[in-house]
Amino acid sequence: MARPQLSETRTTFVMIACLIAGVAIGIASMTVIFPLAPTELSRTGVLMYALHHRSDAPPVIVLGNSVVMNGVDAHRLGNGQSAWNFSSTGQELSESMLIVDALPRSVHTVAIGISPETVARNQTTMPPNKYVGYVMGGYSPSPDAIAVAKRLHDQTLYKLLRTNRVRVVMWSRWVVRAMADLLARRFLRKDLDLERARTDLYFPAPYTQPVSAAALEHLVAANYSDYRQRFVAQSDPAALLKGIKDLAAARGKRVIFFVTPEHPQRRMRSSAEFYAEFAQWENKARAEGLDIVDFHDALEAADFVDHIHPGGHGTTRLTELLDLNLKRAGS
Amino acid sequence: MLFHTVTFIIFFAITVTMLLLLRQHSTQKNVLLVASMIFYMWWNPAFILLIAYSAVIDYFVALRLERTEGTGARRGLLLISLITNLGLLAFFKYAGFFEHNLLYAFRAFGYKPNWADLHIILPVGISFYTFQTLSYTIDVYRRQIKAVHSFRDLALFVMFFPQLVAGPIVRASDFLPQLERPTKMKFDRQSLFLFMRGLVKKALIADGVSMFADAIFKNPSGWSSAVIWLASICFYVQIYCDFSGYSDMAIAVARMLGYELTLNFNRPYFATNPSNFWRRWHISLSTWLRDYLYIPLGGNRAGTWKAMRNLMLTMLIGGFWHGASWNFVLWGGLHGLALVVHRGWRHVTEGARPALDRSRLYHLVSLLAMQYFVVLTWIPFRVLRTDHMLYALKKFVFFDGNLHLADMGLGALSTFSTLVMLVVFFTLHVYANHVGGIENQLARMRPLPAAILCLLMGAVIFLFWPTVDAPFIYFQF
Repeated sequence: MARPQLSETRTTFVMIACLIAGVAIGIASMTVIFPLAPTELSRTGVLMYALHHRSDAPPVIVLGNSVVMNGVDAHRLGNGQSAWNFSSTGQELSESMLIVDALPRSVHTVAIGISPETVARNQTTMPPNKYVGYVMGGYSPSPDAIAVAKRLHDQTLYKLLRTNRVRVVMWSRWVVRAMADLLARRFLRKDLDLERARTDLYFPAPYTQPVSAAALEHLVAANYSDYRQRFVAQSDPAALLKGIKDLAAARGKRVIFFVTPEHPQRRMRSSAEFYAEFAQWENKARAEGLDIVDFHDALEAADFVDHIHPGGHGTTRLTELLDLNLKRAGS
Repeated sequence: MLFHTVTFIIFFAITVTMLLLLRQHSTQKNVLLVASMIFYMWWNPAFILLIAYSAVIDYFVALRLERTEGTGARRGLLLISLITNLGLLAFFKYAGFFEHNLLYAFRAFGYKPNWADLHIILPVGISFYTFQTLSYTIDVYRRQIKAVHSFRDLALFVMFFPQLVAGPIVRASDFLPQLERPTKMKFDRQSLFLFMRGLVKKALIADGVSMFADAIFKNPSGWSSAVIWLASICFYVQIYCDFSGYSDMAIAVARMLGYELTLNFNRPYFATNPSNFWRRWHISLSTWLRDYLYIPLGGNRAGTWKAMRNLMLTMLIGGFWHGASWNFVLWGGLHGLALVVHRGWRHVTEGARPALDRSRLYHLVSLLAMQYFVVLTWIPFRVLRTDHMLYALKKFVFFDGNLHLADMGLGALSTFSTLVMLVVFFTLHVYANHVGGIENQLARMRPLPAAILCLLMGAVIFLFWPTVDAPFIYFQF
């Protein structure tokens, strides 16, 4: 005897239920996929794991973006293994704050790489995708860090830090696409050492070989089309710098901000007024208690592997300069 | 409110529940009207007054048209509707454009007027509902349909939420009769899978490839031909999936509510000539332009040259409908020119037509040539800055042979996931063409395999859905 057919509407609702169940499976699978997925930002998970599980955290931590990844060899800072380079790709100032917030007691000095744009751009938050990396790596913002974000005029970072965990897990799905893109990067840039960029706690430099002259010309044209005429400091990033310093000081840590070197092509596309105004801001910030050293013109064109990243002699030089300043600061 | 958001799903569930609870036909139409108003007001409550104003004017104009016999009086009434609707469209959509052009003209003659910029907010969907409501009064004027005596029904025709903000542009003759008969909601698999098709097109493919196109076209200067080609193909896929995805979802949602909307896309990227393309792309707009512009201009009844003039005019206005920019006029003009050239080509090759129609090689060459032209014309549509557009067009047409992609900064632009999405799109597109619609095939599957497939689809859609919801491209028109 033929079994009775479900009505079309009922079957459709069964299909909808299956779709919802599929979404639920997708959400549940993220807690497994996320830690395993190799992406450009999975370094965040590696850093969080080291902070939470390793007992040999050194006294000095260096933070910043890929300029610091490529430009500071922490092996050569201080006495051998006395520093970690916890910089990461496109690390925002707000990310640096999260890392400072998660540092163990043994760390007493933090060096953070910044640029004039850190203060000139009114940007104090980070893309939600990045925040996901920290939370999925075990980070939970402290009330102190939340208080720093709350004091900012722009409340985006504050809202991000207050996001509930379920939503963060939902956001974490971006790693699926990001995995695919990492494969592309591996294919397109065989010269990049991406595994080292992901896991190395001392010198995670991904950019190992200088780009061709034609590529450099293209990168300069594409990235430095804006001529930097004037420097105008924004209040929120400046407040965030101070917030990071205070957050660290409350835990007995010292913060040194260092202005990362700029390619001469970048400097040529900036006016003298721009740097003069930036220097004025630096002096004002120093007077307000921030420890800032400026290396923006420390390197020559030959010291860079491309339009942004130091390499070879450039790395040696920047590391030496940073080391000297850390020693002066007593670290 | 976007179809592919949780907010819409909650809104839709509440609307359906209300419709199921309130079984009386008239009450159901009231529910739909209120739901449609809420849907529109979710974006900006004030602009509902514009639609209401258009609807009120057209309601009374149509009633008077029905009772009026004199040609002059009827023309006058139609003129009231045209001035009202096109006046609102002209003000909200084109006033800023005309102001800028006037400013350029003044400057060209050395006069520098000191007036403030007009900052007019473009009401979402104004281009769509203006054409829709105009079709109603014109049809009543032509005595092709009768005037609606229920204002509620006319308002629902204008505001029906599935198609309110981005079409399809529904004709009164198609929709109003549906309001006469009791609503029969259709929660069938075909509607569900049609909605899923739209969702996959929009959320996975269009938003998936848009990042690359956006990054390159933001400033195409300096990029090689290969990169410009890739970005152009990305936009070619993006705009089709974005717009047809919306149409699929709109048609599916309307069908679930018991209403049929017109087909808006019929695989336009299989078109082999311009005429064929416009019978497949944005069908509700192209047929509107044909019936209310091209044919009234004389169509092809008054000789070859006038037919060509009418084609060009129709396409230029069609281009301008898309947006207040010369770029859209250029885009429409290029398509108009292609239609004119194609008409000439058909005339020249008339004797050889049976042989050409049988030739597979001719068919393939036609397909490639037409799609090359379509990709090319999307460049002025997408790249609004003139110097950037000219650069992109030059690199697209004159291939520079530079295939060096390694260290140009492409790694950070989702290159691989973009390529994966392109492959997924073209595979599904060819397959759908082969089987006559994937949603139909899925709807015919046995329940158990279909349920397993839904489970997988749910997981895949979640995992590949971008974390930031991008608005539909056609919302800006």
